[in-house]
Amino acid sequence: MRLPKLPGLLLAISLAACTNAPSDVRVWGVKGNGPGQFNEPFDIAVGQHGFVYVTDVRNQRVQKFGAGGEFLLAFGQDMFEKPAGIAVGPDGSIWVTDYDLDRVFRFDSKGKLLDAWGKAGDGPGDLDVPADIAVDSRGFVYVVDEYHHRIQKFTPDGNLILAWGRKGKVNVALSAVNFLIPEDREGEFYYPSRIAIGPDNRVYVSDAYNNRVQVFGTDGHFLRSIGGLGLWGGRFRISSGLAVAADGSLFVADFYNNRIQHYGKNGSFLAAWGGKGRAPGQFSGPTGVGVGSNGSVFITDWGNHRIQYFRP
Amino acid sequence: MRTLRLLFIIGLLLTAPLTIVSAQDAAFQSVIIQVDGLSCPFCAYGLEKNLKKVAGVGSVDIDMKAGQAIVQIEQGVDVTDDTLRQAIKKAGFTARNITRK
Repeated sequence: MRLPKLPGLLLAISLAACTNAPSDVRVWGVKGNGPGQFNEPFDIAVGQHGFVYVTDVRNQRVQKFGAGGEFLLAFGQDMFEKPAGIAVGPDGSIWVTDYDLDRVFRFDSKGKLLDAWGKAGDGPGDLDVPADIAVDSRGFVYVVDEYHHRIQKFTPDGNLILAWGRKGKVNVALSAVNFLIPEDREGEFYYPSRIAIGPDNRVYVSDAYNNRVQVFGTDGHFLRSIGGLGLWGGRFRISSGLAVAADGSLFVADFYNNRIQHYGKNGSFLAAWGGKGRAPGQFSGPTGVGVGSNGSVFITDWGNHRIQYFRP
Repeated sequence: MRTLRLLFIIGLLLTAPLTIVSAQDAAFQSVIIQVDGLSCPFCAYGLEKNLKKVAGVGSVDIDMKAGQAIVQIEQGVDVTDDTLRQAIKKAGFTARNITRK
């Protein structure tokens, strides 16, 4: 029997990895700088009343939409250099990190600036590329300090409470077979990209270049690791945006596999769907995920300059 | 005479933008750097940030598909290859060929 060539084999594995594609995927946005258009939409968060907030990197703004993608307003153009991560706090505040300014901004839901803090540096509390942000149910703020390979936890006004993590690269071969031989470097990161807090206050971190998601308590103690390098379902090639649904299940954007993956509350793999392309349900580098209170899942389709959403 | 003056003014207006564009081009030198491992915006944005910190660098464009950083350097400012390589290394990458235009 003639063996398939490597590209065909990889394609077959990729296709086999995608399951349960949602039937009703909706899309909004095209490349541009007008209202409702995007130039590299990077992260997304769903707030009170289902409002959707998107960091629009090259347009240096945040855009706010209704739950169906109706443009409502844009803000921050005179403040941002490169808005990156976004989260909505329990009080409805909108939190945004700036990749280049090493700052954290807090806005109200109408886009009025309420507070800003953070500075570049290498000491405790300093930032070097704050890639993302999350807020727990008590209002404590967690920042992905990407180039320091750590998570820092702050009070809402920017006082450091604790930090955890250090630089650690998992061997790629070990990562690919971590279902046979457990990988090491728990609590270490290699360019962490995104963070989300679950309804049980567990902290989920996309450890991007270790191709995994690590789960922690709010005090930073390690709980479990999800994923590892690979093409098939449940594996990653650069884990990026993530969000936790009300039922505790986890959605993760798998950047280079161009798909969204869904995991149960215990970290078990449930489904993956996507593929590279421009059709609804296909992606060009998904980077952000948000989940609404009604269960709708929103994704920033970074390379296609648009938002996709669906009900699982 | 009046027609000649009018033609002169129109000619001046038409060529002025070209003069400005070429003056802008002359103000910067384009440097194309081949970079290993440029695979996603999380790293590309970090590389952009580190290169922009270098004194004399005006703008940075990252072409992820080509694996290139295209850097505009102010004319007359001495930004060495080594300085660029250090900035790229700090961002977690390795620079390969550096081409100046």
